[in-house]
Amino acid sequence: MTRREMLKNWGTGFGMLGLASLLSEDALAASSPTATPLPRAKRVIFLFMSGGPSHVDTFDPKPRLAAENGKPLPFAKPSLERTKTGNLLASPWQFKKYGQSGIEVSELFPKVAECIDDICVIRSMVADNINHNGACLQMNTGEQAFSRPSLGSWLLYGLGTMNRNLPGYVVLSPAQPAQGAPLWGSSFLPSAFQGTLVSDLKNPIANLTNPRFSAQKQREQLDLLAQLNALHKTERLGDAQLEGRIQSFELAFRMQREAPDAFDVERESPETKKLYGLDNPLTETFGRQCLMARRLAERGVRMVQVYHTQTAKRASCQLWDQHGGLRAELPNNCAATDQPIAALLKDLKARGMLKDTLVVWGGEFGRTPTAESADGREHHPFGFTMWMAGGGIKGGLAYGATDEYGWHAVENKVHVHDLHATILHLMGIDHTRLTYLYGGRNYRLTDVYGKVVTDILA
Amino acid sequence: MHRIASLLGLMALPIALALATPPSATEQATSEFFENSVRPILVTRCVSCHGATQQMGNLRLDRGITPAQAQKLVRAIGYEASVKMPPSGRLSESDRAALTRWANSGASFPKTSTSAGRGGSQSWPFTPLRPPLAPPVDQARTDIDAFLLAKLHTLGLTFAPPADRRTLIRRVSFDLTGLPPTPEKVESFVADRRPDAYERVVDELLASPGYGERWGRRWLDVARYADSADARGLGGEGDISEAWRYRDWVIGALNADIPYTDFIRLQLAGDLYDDPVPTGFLAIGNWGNGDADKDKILTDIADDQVDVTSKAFLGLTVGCARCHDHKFDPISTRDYYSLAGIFFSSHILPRLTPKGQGEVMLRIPLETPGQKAAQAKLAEMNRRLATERDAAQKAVAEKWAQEAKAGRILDRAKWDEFIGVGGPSTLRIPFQRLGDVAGIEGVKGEKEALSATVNTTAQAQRILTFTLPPRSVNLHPSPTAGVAAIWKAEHSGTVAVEASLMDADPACGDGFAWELRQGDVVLEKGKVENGGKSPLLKRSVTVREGEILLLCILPGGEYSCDTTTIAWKVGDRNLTADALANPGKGAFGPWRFADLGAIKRTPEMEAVISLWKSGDQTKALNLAAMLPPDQKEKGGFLPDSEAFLMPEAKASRDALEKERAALKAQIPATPQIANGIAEGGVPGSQHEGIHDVRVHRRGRYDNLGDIVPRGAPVVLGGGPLPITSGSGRRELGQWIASEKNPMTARVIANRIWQGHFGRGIVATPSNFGLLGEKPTHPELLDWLASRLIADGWSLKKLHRRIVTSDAYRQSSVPSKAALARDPDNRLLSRAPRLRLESEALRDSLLSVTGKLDRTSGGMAFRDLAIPRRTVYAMTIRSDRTGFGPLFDAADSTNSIEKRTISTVAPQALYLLNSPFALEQAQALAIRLRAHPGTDNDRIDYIYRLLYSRPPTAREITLGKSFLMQSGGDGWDAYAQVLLCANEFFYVD
Repeated sequence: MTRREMLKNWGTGFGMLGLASLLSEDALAASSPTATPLPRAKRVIFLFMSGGPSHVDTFDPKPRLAAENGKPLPFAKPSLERTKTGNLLASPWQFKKYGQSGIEVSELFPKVAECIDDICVIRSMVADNINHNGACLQMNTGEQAFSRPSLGSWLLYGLGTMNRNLPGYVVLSPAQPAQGAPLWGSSFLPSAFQGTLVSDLKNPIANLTNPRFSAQKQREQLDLLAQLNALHKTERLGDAQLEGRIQSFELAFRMQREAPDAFDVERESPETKKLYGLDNPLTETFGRQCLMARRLAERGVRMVQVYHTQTAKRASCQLWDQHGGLRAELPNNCAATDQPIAALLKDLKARGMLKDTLVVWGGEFGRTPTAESADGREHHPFGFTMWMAGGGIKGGLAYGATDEYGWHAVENKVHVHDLHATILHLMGIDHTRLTYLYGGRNYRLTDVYGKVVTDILA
Repeated sequence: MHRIASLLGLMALPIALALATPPSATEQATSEFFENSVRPILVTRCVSCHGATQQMGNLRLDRGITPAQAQKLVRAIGYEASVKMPPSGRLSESDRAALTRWANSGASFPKTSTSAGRGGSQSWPFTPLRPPLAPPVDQARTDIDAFLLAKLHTLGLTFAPPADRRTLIRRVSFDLTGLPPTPEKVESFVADRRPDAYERVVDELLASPGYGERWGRRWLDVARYADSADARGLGGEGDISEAWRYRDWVIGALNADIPYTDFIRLQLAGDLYDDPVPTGFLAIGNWGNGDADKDKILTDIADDQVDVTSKAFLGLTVGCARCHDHKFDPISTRDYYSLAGIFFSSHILPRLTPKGQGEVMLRIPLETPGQKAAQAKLAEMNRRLATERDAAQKAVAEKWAQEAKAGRILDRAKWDEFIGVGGPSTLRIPFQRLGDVAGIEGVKGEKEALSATVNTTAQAQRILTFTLPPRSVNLHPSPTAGVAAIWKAEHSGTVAVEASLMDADPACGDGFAWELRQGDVVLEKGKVENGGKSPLLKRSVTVREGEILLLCILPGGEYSCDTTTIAWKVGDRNLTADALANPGKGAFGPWRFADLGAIKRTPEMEAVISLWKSGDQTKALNLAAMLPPDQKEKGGFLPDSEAFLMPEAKASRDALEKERAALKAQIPATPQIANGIAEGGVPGSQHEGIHDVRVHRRGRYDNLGDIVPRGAPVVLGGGPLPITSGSGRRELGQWIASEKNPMTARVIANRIWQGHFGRGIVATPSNFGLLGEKPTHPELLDWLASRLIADGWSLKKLHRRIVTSDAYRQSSVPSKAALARDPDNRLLSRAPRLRLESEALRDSLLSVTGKLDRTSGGMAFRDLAIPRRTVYAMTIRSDRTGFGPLFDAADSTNSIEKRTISTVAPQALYLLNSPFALEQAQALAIRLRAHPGTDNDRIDYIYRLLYSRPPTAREITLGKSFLMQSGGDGWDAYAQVLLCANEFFYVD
C-alpha cells in the first residue's frame, strides 16, 4: 500500500493523523502538525459501571427528592420510556461535603470522596438511548444501533501504541458487558485497532506459553524458521509483508517473556495489593482489575477499559441495573469498587502518572429519580453523572446540573458526543479531524456532533 | 497490491513503507478542495432554494456563478448585507471561509459535476454497459490480456514470465477451493503434457464442492453473515439461529452455478418464488435488537436492508441518503425512501414485542407442498380426536358420577394427583444436544428457559458460562419460574431422602433458592450463593401412595437463573442413575421434571377443585366434564390417558391415533424453520401492510416529508417500479437482475476479479461512487461484465475466463522495471502474492495433516477442534475473540467488501503455542514418521505436501541438522516450523 492509497483510505486530507500509528511508536513524541490541541493525557483508563449507576444515590444529591418522597414527579415524563415508573423515591443514603472543594458525595463512596479534589464530577450528562445495548454502544462508539469503531480504537488509530510488545487497547471484564465485542470493536477500522478482551484475570492473554517445547527448543525452532524464511525471501525481493511476518515471530517470542509481567499483579508489593483491596473478598476482583489497569497504563497501553461485571457474590453483564434491590445491591456495588478506584487514583498520583492519565468513571446512563416497584429505579439517559480525573482535567469541580429532582440535565448539558470530543481533545486530537473514509463517507467518533467541554479543562 | 503489511495497533511491527509523493498538481488540489469542502455546503445548505427546482433570486448554486454573484454571495453568507444567507442560520466559521475562498477564486464548478454530485447518469459507471472491443495487442492470447497489456505497454512493461506448473496448480487450487493440491495432483499435472492440461485442472476444481465453500464465504462477507447475533443467546427466537440454512444455500447456489440473476432475485424475494431460505440475506442484519424505541427499530431494520442491498448488488452507498441527498453521488433522499418503502412493506419480525423486551425473529416453516397438505389434514385429525376425547371424557365423567352416587370413587389416586397437587406440568420438549455437544440430552418447557439437562458423557461439558459435571442431572429455572424434579411414591411408608445441589454457573447469575416439598408443604429450604453448593440434605419422609416429593430450584434474585446440578436419592431410587438410563425424557419411573410456573386456573377449575374437596365428587365430576378442552389440558384435568377411557371409546380413539401417526410420519418431527422475510410491514405496527413511505427528514421518523413511490435509484434508470401487488421486492430483484441495470454485472464481475487478484479493478467493490477508488481498467471491467451477461450470468464461466488468462498464469516475481514502474502491481505486471485467509489457513493445516473432514452443510459447529471446513464454524456477532478474528475473518457487524490484512504477534503466538497448532504439528509428524524410506525421503515428502515442490539440497541439510540436534521429538518441532513458514502462509 502506498502512502497515497493510505491517505485516500484513511481519512481524506487528515490521513496523517491516522498514519501516526503506522509510522511512529508514540505520536506524542513525534511532532504531528495536524494534532492541534496540546495533548494533556497520554492514556485513558475508563472505569465502566455496566448497567447504569444511579446518579441520585451517588454523586448528584437531591434534597427535593427527600422532601417529596412518594409524591408524583411534578412534570410530564418524556415520551421515551421503558416502563412506567411510580412516584419520587428519596435516596436512602446521606450526602456529605468533602475536600477543599466541598463537593457532595454519597456515603456509598467514602474513599473516592477523599479524592474529590482531583475529580471533576459532570452532573449533566445526556445520552439518547434508554436500553443497555443501544446506550452502551453509544457510550463506547457514539452510535446507538450500527457498527462503528470504539473510542479506544479511534485513539489507537490516531495515536498508535507506546509499547509494541503489548496490546494497545485492553478491556478488562470478567463477565461480558451488554452485547460484548461491538463495545470495543474496531468496526471498519483495521482489526488491529480493536480492544483485546481479558476476561480470565488469571490467564489474560491466550497462547503465551508453550505446553510442548522448552524455551530453548522454541528458540531452535525460530532459528530454523528464520533460515527457511530467508531462503524463501531471496527469490521474492521487495515484498515487505514477508519481512513483516518474519519479525512477528521474533516479537511473539519476546512477548512471551514480557507480557506475563505486565498483567501479573502478584508482583506488586503487599502494601500496594492491600491498598487496592486484594486482601478482601469484597474488593478483590475489581481491585485486581484496577491494579492490572495501572500496570498496563504504566507500560504504555493507550487505553484500558475496566468493566465492573463481577463481585464476590455475582457476575452479571449489568451489575448496576437496579430495577429492584436498590437498597441491597447498590451498596454492594459501591463497596466493591470504592476502595479500588480510590487506590487507583492515589497510586497514579503517587507515581506521578495522574497528570497524564485520564481516568473516566460512569455507566451507559443513570437511573430514574422515581421508583420502579418499591425498591428500584429505571434506566435514565436524560440527566446523569459521570466523572473524570487526571490528565488535563480541572479537579474539585462539580460541572453542570440536573433539575431539582435529578430528572433532566438543565445546566451545561454534556452529551455523550461532547464527552468523546473532550476525551479526544485531552489526548491531543481534534475530534473533527480524526476521520476515516469508509463506504464513501468520512466517519468520525463524534459523527457530525460533539463540542469540547472547555470549562472542565485544567 | 492494496495491502497493509503490518499494523501497529496490536503489537505490530515497525516497517519501512515505500512512501510515494502524493500528486500535488494545483488542479487536483482545487478539485479536492471543492469536493470536500465546498460541494457539501452547497448541497446541504443552498441548492434546495438555488438549484435545479427553484432558483430564488435568479441564482443557481449547482453550477458556476459570475464574479458579481460571487461577491454578493460572500456578503450574504457574511450576514453583512440586508440579504442574509442561509436564512435558517449563519454558516459555521469554517464553512463560511470555504465558500468565500471558492467565491474569491473564480467560483467555478469542476467539469464532471452536476447538481446531484458526480457525473449523474452520464459518467462511468452509471453509463449503459456496452461491450468494448479489446485493444489490438500482438502478444495478447486472450482479450483480458489485451486490456492489461495495452496499459502495461504504455509504461514499457509486459507480463512476468509464466509461473511454473507447481506454482500454478498450487495457486489455482487455493484460489478456487481454498485448499492446497495433494502431492499426487501436483505430480500428475506436472507430467500431463496435453495442451489443455491446465484447463482440465481448472474445470475439475470448479466442479468440486470446495469451490462453493471458498467463494460462498466471500459472498457471506458481503452479506454480513453470522450464525448468532449474541454469544449469550442460546439460540432463542430472538436470535438468527437458522442463518446456517442461508449459508448452505449460498454455497449450494454457487456450486450449482445458478445464474447470478437468480442469485439476486432469490435473496431479495425467494419467498415469492417458493424458497424463503435465500431471503435470510435480509433477515440476518445488525440493527440493535432490544431498543425500547420501537419506531427506531423499524427504521433501523429497513436501513440495514437498504444498505446491504445497495452495497452488495449495486456497489453504491445509498445509506448516506437516509438523512440528506448524497453529497457526492447522484442519490437523493427520495431514492433512499423509495427503496426503504419496499422494505418497510416487508417484515422479518412477526410482531413488535412489548417495551423492554427484545424482538423475536420471524420463523418461517419450511414445508414441501406434500407436507403442507399433511399438516392441514393433521390439524383436522387433531380436531376430530379432541371431539372424540371430549365425548369419551364425558362418558367417563358420567360413569364416575354414577359410581360416586353409589359411594364409590373410581381412580382415586389420579384425582388426588390432579386436585391435590394442582399438577406442575411435566417438561415436554426433548433435545439431544446443546451447543455443539452431543450427549447432552434433556427436556425443556414450552415457554421460558426452563430445562432439565442430563450430561450423559463421562466428561465435564463447558457450554457458554456453565459447566455440567460428568454424568449429571442439571436443572435450569427461568428468571420468573422454578423448575422441579418430582418423585412419586409407589407405596405408602417412610423413605430416606438424600439430596445435594450445586450451582453449575459460577460466572453468571446470582445463585438460586431451593425447596424440598411434599405436595404443597415445604419440608426444607435454603439458598445457595453464586458458584456455591448446598450441604448434603438427609432426612426421612413419610408418604402415602401416590403422593409426591418435589425438589424445587427457584430463581435466586431478580432477573437471574442459574444452572444447578442436583443429585437426589429417595428410598432405593437414584434420580441420576435413572435419568442417565432415560435421557431426553420428561418422566421415567417414579420421576419427572416439571415446570413450577404458576398454572393459571380458571374460576371453573377452582370450582371443580373446591367441590371435590368439599366432598361433592358427583358435582365436581359433572362440572369437570363440561370444561372446554383447552382448560382440561392446561389444568391437568381429565387427561386423555388410557386409564380414563372406556373400552369402546378407546377403540375408536386408537383407530384415529393410528391414522394420525401415519400422517405425522410424513412431517419432520421438529419443523424446519428459516429466518427470512415475508410480505407486508411488521404486523400490528404502523407499517403493517403494503405502502409507500414518506421521506424522513434528516433521517428522523418523527420529521416526515413527502410520500415517495416505492422504486429504485433514478440515476440507474430506476424510479418508481411497476409493482402490481406486494412489497415490490420481486420487482426490485427483477430490476437489479436486469441486463439494463448498469451496475449489476460490473459490480459482481469486479468482486470476482478482486477474489482472484486480491484487488478489484475498482478497489472499493461496494462503492463505485465518487469517494470510491477510481477503476484501473474500466474497459476491461465493462468487457468482463458484458461477457458475464453473454454467458447467461454464469459465474463459473467468468472464473474460467479469468484464471485461464496469461495475466493470471504469470509468475509472482517482478522484474526490476516492474517494481520501479508498477510498484503496487495495480497494472498486474506480475501475479499477486496472496496470504491465506483465516478459513484457508485452518483448512490447509487440517488438510496437510490428513485430518480434514469434508462433511458439508448443517448447523454451525462451535468447537474448533472439530476438523471440518472453517466456513461451517460458528460465527458470533458479539464475539471477536478466537481464531477467525485473529486472522482477520470478516466482522459480521457490517457488510465487508474486502478484509483487512494484519500481521501481528498474537498470530505467531497462535501458530507457535495454541493447542490446535501443536496438535496439527504432531499429526503431521506422525504422518511423516509413517512415511517409508530415509529421513531425506521424509523431508522430501513434507515439502511436497506443504509447498507442492521438492526441497533443495540446502533445505534438506537444514532439516537434517535440526532433526539431529533435536533427538527424539524432532519431527514434531520440525513439522511445526514448516507449518509456520512464510511459504505455507503465502501463495505465489
